[in-house]
Amino acid sequence: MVIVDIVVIVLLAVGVMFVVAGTVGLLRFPDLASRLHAVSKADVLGLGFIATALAIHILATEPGWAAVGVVAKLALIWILALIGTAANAHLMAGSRRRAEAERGTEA
Amino acid sequence: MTVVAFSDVDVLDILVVLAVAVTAVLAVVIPRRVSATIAFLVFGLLLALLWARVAAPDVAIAEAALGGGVAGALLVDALHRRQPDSPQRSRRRTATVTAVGAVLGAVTVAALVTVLSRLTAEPADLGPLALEAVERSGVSHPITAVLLNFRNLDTLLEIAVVVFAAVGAAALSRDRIRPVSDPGPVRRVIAVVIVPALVLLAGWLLVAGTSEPGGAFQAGAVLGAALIIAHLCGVHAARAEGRRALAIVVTGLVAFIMLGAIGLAATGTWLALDLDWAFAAILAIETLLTVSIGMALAMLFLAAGSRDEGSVTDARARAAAAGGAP
Amino acid sequence: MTTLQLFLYAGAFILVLGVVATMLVRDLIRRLIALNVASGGVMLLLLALADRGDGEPDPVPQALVLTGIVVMAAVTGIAIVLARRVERLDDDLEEVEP
Repeated sequence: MVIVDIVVIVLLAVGVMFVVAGTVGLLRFPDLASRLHAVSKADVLGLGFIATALAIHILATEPGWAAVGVVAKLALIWILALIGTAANAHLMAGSRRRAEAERGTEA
Repeated sequence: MTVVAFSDVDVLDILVVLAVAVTAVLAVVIPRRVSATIAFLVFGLLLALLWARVAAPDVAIAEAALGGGVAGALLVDALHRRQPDSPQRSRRRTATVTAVGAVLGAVTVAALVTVLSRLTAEPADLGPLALEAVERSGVSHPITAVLLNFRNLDTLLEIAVVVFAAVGAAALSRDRIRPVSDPGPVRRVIAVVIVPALVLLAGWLLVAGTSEPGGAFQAGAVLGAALIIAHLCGVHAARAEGRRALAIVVTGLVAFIMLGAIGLAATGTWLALDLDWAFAAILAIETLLTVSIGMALAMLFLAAGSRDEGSVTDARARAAAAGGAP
Repeated sequence: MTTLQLFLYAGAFILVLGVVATMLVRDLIRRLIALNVASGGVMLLLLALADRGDGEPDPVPQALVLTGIVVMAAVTGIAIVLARRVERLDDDLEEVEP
């Protein structure tokens, strides 16, 4: 059981580190495109690590069909976050490019 | 004065409460609208986390869906319509007023803290009574039992407030909803993948609410979000405006009043539910409430974002654009 | 300080902060945000009181808070529509007068 706890803690720490790295990129990068790049990639990866840690924890502590249900829900959460983040990033970058193109033709 | 010592408080609780308080202060004092709205969104999300810490998962789900989701979308959509100008007023008066407000606020907080410190950690009597009566209510989840059986008058009045808000918003947004023309391929994928998933989630929350955390309000919030996303991705059938949407919204209120009348006829008390058909009645009413609340939230969002085509400012802007083009 | 006291004092602080800001702030949208913050403080107070004791939490305040969240969302929606109308009328007045 101690091995499982260590694995869970390590995965959680890695996930949190990725999310923090994504936030640092959001704050420090110069323009929208690079900020979107940092946030959408690092945040979703961090979420994946955290979800994996939680899945391992529930499978180890309460094995059974209820745990399989929880793991499936965690996987769904991660997939939905992935789709949503990717779509959001695309839409934001696209609308910024259109706005810049309009401002370019006006000036 | 006693020393403030944190005897048996979790570090996690202290951190979450501190984060909530800090974001609350930020949301209130930041002068720019955009930044204040973003701080408020973070505040809503941290609040949902706090509700989970206080053993209130129903409230956490509702706060995440409504406070972070729908209210956040409403505020963000209302943001970019107008650049706020700084009104000219004398700085000295503002400083005096702010100082007076801060002093009075501090006094009020001190008074509240004095009163609250006398509260004991013993729960009140009403809680155990309600928990014990749950098995006679028709459902097995205590909060659903309280909302839809013991205190369903509160829920009736709440759906009335939602209906009035939707009707008022529809009356005030007198002009066309901005149509979404040609959503790109990304938005079409969103419409095909995410919207059905959200509708399924809403249905699950609705049915699960009878025995687990969930219920009509959370399901209604998720359904409202699904309708808003569907509209933004170009699904024309999801236009929450006009008489059809209003009819759907009002149906929830009318159905609840009819349930009250049925209860009166069956048991002699207004809005009382007989144990034989309580479960079916609760599930039916929750379904109608979900659809009603979802449609009302979508109507509020569209009304908040509609373009008012009759104003002078808009006419001049259009004339300027037409004159500047050639 | 126990957990209950921490939550109660924080709830009181957030409530008073929101109410004072609602009265002092000029901008309509920011005033609406402050009102939402105040309602968050009230909800914290009620939920902290619901979770007293060792057993299951008291469902009545939790149901009241749930109702309150939905009402606040609806009120925020209608208030935003009203605020936009008021601001548009102010803009029109400024355009017409000079």
